[in-house]
Amino acid sequence: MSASTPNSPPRRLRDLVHSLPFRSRRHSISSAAVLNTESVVVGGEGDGYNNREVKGGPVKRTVRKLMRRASLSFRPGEKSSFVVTGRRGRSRTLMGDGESGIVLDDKDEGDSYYAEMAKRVDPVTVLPTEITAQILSYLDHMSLVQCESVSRRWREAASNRHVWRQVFRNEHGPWESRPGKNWKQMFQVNHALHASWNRHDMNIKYLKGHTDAVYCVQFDENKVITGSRDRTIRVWDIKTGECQRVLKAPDDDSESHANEFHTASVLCLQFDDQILVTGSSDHSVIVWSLPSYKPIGRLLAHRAGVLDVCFDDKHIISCSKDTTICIWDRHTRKLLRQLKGHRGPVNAVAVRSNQIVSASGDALVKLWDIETGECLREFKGHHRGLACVQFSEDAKTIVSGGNDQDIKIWDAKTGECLRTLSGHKDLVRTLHLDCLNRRIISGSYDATVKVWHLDTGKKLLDITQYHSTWILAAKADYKRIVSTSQDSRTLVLDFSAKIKGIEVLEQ
Amino acid sequence: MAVQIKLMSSDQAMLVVDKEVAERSVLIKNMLDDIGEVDEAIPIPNVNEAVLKKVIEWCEHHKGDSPSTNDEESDSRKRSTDIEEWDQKFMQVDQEMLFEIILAANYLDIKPLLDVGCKTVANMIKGKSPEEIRKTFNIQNDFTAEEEEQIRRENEWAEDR
Repeated sequence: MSASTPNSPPRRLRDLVHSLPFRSRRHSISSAAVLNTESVVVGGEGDGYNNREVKGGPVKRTVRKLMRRASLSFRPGEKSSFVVTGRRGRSRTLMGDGESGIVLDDKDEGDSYYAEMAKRVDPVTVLPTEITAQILSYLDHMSLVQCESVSRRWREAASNRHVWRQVFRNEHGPWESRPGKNWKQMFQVNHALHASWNRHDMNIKYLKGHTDAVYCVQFDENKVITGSRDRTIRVWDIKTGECQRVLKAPDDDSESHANEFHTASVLCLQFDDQILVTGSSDHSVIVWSLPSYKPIGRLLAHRAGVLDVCFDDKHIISCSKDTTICIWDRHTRKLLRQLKGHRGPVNAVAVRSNQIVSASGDALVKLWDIETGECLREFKGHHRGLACVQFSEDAKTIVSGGNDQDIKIWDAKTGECLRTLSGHKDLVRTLHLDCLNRRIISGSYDATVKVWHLDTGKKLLDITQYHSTWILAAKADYKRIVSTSQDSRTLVLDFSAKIKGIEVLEQ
Repeated sequence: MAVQIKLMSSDQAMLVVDKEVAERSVLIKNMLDDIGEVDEAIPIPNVNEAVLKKVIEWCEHHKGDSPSTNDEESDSRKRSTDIEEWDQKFMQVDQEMLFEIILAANYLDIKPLLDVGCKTVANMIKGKSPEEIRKTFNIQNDFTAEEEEQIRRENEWAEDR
């Protein structure tokens, strides 16, 4: 420092400034205010203006037209050249062209028109690509589609895949997708899919094989897994409807295997890529390894039927008719703690980010801290026993349903009931929250499955004709609803059957 | 008293601003962090006086803002075009100035100002037909009739609900 000459600081400073990476190279608009001479031949020879009346509309309009052309913002072939024309001084020179005989007053309304037009600048031409992309990514799809028809440059800008990706997210949330997807195409397919939901345009398929009521179900892109009162768990191919596997005790009743399977109704289940967890009237929970479907552990602590199960990365949670909730270590399968507090059977549990929500026959929804086991909040409002509960992915919203036939949406933070959805004519037996697609799926003893909008509470679909008796479980994803019933059947409704290219949406 | 620094616009105008205000620009902040205290005016070679004054006005108003909390924004979140009232008024300038402010915000790395500028332009486009967009920004339609028809057919799906 001490060795520097008096001149050095500014030089360093300036060097620093100039060495900084320019995010934008095309940056000065006003400095490029050059007239496009080609289009500004007003009053040139042979234009005929000399012969016309000078005052009045037609001429003025022609000048206006020329001005509009003159202020076109780029010249073909010269990609970055940007021309702002018609700035005040220039326009006056133009208008005062004596030869043409056109004399327009400075105060003429036309002048303010030119000045106004001159200030209009095509953003796609003057702003760098990444800024244009940011601007367009704030739009809705309808507006973005309009942009494609503006001009060639706009079409190029609006077709940018990053723009469509963000617009997809704006309207449909953070969709998981394989890399390299065409987001505009995805948007288009999803748009058609939504229309298909709105029109009840669906393909119907029954999965038949269980010999008694089907209590629980979950599915993914390839398979459906169901659990039944017939004591078996079945794995189905979701595309063909074929039963691929039955998990049950061998028929010969050999003692060695008998205790690996459920010995009573399979009431609840959840699976991910690694495990399947099932709960049964036999008071136990079985953990199965996937994709082998080998039983790897049996969780024993409940003193009555296990009515619901759920899990996250670390825990498995089960709830029971014995009024308790058990928290197990997912990996060691040791019982970590048992939550007591409900005064009736705990019919449903859900877990999100270290919190458990439970619903009980005592008509209460309770929120628990998974680490301390403390009951954090009670949600009061239902006046009959509860059968089902769901917890949103962001852990902000809880949805519950039960014997009073209403579905209630709660604010998990405040305990306030945000909305009551009425419509079912009997006990609400099952709920599924599809946060990504903003839908609530409900199934009831009234034999209907209904779909509600999570944010507005509006009823979107009422599926009344495909089950003849109690609905026991229902789940949905972006294109399907799968429901199970006491009639021993599982129903797959597919809204994508007629949509070309639906596979682009597969997650 | 607040520490002040000098900025030199591209047209050689000298502007004196509170350091705190100038540091809304990440570019200037990083520069000051690198070179320490300076008496010399910091040259801003890409921004003229009128635009730089506007940008400083915005920085003044927003000097107390908490540093943007939404770093996760760019990818996973929905983008809304809501703009607070003061910013809306601030952005009521002609298009040339608006785009100059956006370019300056981009160059000076003032992300919240860039965002507001982009939202303002987005709101000028939203809900408009192609012809209305052309009028708004004085753009010539350079498509042939056939191309227009083709684009219309390609995008028919968007109309269908």
